[in-house]
Amino acid sequence: MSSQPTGSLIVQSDMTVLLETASPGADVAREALARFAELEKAPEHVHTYRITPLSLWNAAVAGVDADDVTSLLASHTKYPVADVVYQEIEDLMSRYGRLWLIRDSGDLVLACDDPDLLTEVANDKAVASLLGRRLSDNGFHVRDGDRGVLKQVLLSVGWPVADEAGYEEGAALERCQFLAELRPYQVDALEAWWREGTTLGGSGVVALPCGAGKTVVALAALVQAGTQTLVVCTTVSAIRQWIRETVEKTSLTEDDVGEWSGLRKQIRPVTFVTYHSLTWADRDVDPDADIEVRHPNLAIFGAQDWGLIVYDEVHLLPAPVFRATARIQAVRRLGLTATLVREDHREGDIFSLIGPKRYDAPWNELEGQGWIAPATCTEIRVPMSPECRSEYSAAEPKQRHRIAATSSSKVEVAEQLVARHPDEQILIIGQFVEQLAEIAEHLDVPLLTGRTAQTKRDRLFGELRSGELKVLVVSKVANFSIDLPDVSVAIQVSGQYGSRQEEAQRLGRILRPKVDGGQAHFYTLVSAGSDETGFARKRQRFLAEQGYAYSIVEWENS
Amino acid sequence: MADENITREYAHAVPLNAISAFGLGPFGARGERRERDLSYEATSQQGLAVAYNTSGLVVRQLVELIWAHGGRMDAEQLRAQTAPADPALLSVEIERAVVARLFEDRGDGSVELGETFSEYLAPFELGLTDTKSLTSDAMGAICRNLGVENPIPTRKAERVAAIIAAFDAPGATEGLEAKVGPVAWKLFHDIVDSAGTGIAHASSVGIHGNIHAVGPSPFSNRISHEGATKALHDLACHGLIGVESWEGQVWIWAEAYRVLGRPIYRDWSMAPRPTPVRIDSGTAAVPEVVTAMTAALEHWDEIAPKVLKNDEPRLAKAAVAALARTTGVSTTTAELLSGVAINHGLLLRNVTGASGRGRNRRVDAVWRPDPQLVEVWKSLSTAQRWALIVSGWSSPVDRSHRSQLQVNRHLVAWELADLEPGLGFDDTATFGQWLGDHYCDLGHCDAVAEVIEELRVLGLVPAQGAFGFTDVARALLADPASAEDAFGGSVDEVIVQPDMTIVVPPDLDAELASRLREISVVDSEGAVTVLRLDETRITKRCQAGTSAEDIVGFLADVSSVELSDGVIHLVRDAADKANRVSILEATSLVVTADPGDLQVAMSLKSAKLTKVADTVAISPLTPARLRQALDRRDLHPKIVTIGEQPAARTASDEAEVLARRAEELRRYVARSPNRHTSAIADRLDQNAAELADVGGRLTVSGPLVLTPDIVEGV
Repeated sequence: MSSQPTGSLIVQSDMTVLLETASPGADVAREALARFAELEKAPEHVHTYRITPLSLWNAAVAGVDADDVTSLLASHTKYPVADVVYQEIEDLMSRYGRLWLIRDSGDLVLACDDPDLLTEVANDKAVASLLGRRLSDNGFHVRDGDRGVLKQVLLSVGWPVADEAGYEEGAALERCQFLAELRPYQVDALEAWWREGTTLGGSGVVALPCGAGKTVVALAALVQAGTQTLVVCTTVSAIRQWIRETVEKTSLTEDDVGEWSGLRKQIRPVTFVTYHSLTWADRDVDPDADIEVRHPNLAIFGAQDWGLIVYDEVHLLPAPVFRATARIQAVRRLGLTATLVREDHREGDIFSLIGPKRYDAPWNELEGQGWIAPATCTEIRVPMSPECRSEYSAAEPKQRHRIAATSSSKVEVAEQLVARHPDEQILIIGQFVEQLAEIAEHLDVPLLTGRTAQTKRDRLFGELRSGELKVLVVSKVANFSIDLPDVSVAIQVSGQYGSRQEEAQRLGRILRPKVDGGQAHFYTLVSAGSDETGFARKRQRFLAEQGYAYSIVEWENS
Repeated sequence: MADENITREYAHAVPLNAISAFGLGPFGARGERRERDLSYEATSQQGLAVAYNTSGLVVRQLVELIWAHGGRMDAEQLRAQTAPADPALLSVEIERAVVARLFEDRGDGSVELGETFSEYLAPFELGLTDTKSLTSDAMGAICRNLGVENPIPTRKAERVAAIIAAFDAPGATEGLEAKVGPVAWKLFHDIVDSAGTGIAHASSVGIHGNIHAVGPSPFSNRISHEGATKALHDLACHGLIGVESWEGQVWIWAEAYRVLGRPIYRDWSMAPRPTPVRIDSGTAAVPEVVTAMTAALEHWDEIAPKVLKNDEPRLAKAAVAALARTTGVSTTTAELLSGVAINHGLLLRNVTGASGRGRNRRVDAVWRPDPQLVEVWKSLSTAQRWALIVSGWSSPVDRSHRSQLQVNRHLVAWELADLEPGLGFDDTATFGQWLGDHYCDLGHCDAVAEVIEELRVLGLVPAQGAFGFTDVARALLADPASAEDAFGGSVDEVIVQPDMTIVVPPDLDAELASRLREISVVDSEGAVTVLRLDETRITKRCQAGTSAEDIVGFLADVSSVELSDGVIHLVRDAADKANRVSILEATSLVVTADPGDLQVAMSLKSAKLTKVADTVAISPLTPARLRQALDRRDLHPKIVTIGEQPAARTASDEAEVLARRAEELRRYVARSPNRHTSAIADRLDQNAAELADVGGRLTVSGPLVLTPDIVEGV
């Protein structure tokens, strides 16, 4: 393959692929790439994709083979592709589909058409402990309860298994219709996950930016599956929001949906539960006891006849849910996230237990199409007062971040920013409750933190949604899953060190498209000359990679 | 054999001698180029030792067999002993040994050790004839045990002849097997399989616990033996094996091979040479190691690493790790950088103190950059710097110290250079296995992997995938001057993205690429290079005198898209870190007990004082001049010297020392003429002149490794 100056892809030997967005064939190449590579970052000019074992196996699940991948690369590449890349692709893709999980006369069977390979795999200690008796040269019996763990282990030894054992349909959901209209990308996401109801689909993750309508995709999936569904959410506020959306966008009524939280214990055809409630641990029970004894709610929910489980913010999935999910592989599963980046690097577990990533859309692409609000991001560098500066300089390194983050100079800046947006709804988000309390008191606006009672939370969010409330000061409890469609300004006064995910999620609070098509404004206040500037740079990396360019301004009192 | 040129055939057989003949290391410093004359390299004791040590598994076994057969094997013996070998492989290896002058093929199917080889390198003698470890009495006992008829000869030589005759007698093999029994006979074969014609350690044949029980005299019949001990005893008493109990060694007597009834060596296999594959040459990019050297020199200027106590010309592992951390390069790169810097004299030994006397005397020293050579380094072009680093890699650090690594480097380089351009190998393990078998001296595959890793760091082979010399690397290795345009890219634009990455096209101008690398780290390499702006590196640049605006301006000029605020602020923040604390350069520091005294001193303009605290001021005047000035105001200061660090030594200092020693010798020679001392003085002068020529020392010319072209005189 010789060089093609007009090619829009640059394939690196380390399996990264660069896409030149300005080149004529970029759109076609992007579409091709999305099938077998993961978008790592999408700054303005050159997007970076990475071909990983997981992305190739995801592609293999979707029916793409190594020849398809290599010919797509060859036809779009600008420079010759190293042989090692092709070899790696061929080697990795050839591993998927060599092992299957199937049902044979009701039994779960690990099957393979190559007896030697099956023997080799079965000789691995971890795999062997999960296999039952050998049924023939080509199959081992597997316990139903080990289905998920076996998939995890096989993935870790480099042999991803094609799970074609099918799903239990679950109890039917009567009279359920979808009443809203899906956007084109939501249709694509749903189709990619559902795969016409075959065993090739029905489990996996949909990644969409905050505000792009992940909930709607999940509701459409629920209706499509037509089965009783469990939705696992991050907070009670998120549950209420889900319930509101469910009643609004489907034919289900409030009697059909249940909330299982600290306040209510309802199990209904569609039930919403928080991760916290689901994994509540009985402290009187021996920590080494069976998971369902230690976490009794898992047993309660495990006994229901669900046909679908939806995991909201799947990147936050806690360890007990992983273990529980490993046991319920016979149920269809849908994971939702904006940023499929786990700080604990358990993306492989999500692949095995929830399923492969089925759909992903670049943020700036959806912004360009008007599905999420255009946003300007501004980092404002606020000088610390002399006293604060002295305290900061003399403090131990561990204390410095807090001192810089809670600099009192930020209060005045926040006040002036609020004044600049008199007709807009504003969220002031921060990490430190004392700082937030000071700001709330100074601006005479309500404060919402983890200690705020649920009823008050609901009231405050309700007032904000109705427009009654213009400014709300919130702690990190509002980082996720809170739908505040008319909030168009977010002022971040402090954050958790260099967390990229937090930055993205906080921006996500203001990305719902505005009725007037207006712009969203995201301000982040950073103490100038402190370690906050370095943390801010790290925090902004994910968004910069998604095409959000921050303006950085030095604050002047004027 | 005079004036015989090194041929490609010989280079294939014994590349290390060809490498030495061209003055390319690893047995001598570059520049000591000899004539392209085979006579010395191929027939000297050292040359033959090299030929034998690197001759590979098969040739070694052949040489040992011939020696065990008295230095000559006829066609029949050769055929019998090499029966298990692949005839094609055997033929190639015999040819190789003949070319290497190890033995001669007589044309009638017989082979004979080369005369010079026999003279210089007689292998360890394991024959009854020459052993001193067996007494005449012991020989007599062996004769009796073998059934030699009375009267037993009285002279030792006659007894050996009788033993040989017994071994040669028809049915001797079967008879001996029956006599010593199956256990002993199996042990006999095990020893041969383990050591061939050499010495086996007892543990390798499972008799570690028995060999000491045999006692200092293996022929003692006073102790009854059992099992393996009895077997050992019986074999020794029948003249089949020799035993060295104290060392735990056991061997087969050369005379006893004839009763073995099979070839001495059963395994004649060698790992096959891997098939060359096409490499991904790509476009030449400036290797990181080239740009990292400047940062490394700055690092060493700040933190001088200690010279090892054993005085080895290398840095301690901790110092290498510190360099890797500071400059953001891999440990391999850091190790290479330090080796090359020491090799070229960019780092010089500076004595910092000494203690103790006599044998307890200890000298403390550190490595510090030679300011003169550092200046020359900075003036070199990117290609010249690359050539210099590669030449440092391929030259021995110390001419008296032959390192295995150096041997490995040259052998691997030769094998890669000998391939057709564009070809390489794709698997380090199989390549290493083959090299290990082909040149026994090379050792383990890990050693080859280490060299391949170095070649990748040096940018001589592709960063990933199959390894073979790229076209630019071939040009550089054959003639460093021809690589001047290696990085002569025509493009002068990159994309500096808001996420701090820089997309660098393959044909970017070398100087631009080099400057970019000084402020960034590699994110990904391949068809293009993706760099990431690095705060630490930018701070380092700023510490070295570059301003934030210079860097921003440079990035703005070179970027085809507008710089984002994030990029600009990253540079400014990094620069701020560099300038947050200032070090004022002052020759003198004035401290007074009373602030009033300082006021008085400050009023004296000629003292040029700058107040930095109530009782502290600094001045650019030397302490002596400042005292003169302050004396005039009746202040009469005392001068206190604070542990000042002496200036780093330079090559010129070294040259001066050598020149002084040469002069002293000449004065001595003038008093009592001595040709030898005079020659030493001349050499010292020559060395001094070479050291003083700082520009010349960092100029690289001539081939850097052995290539087919230079062998063939192209």
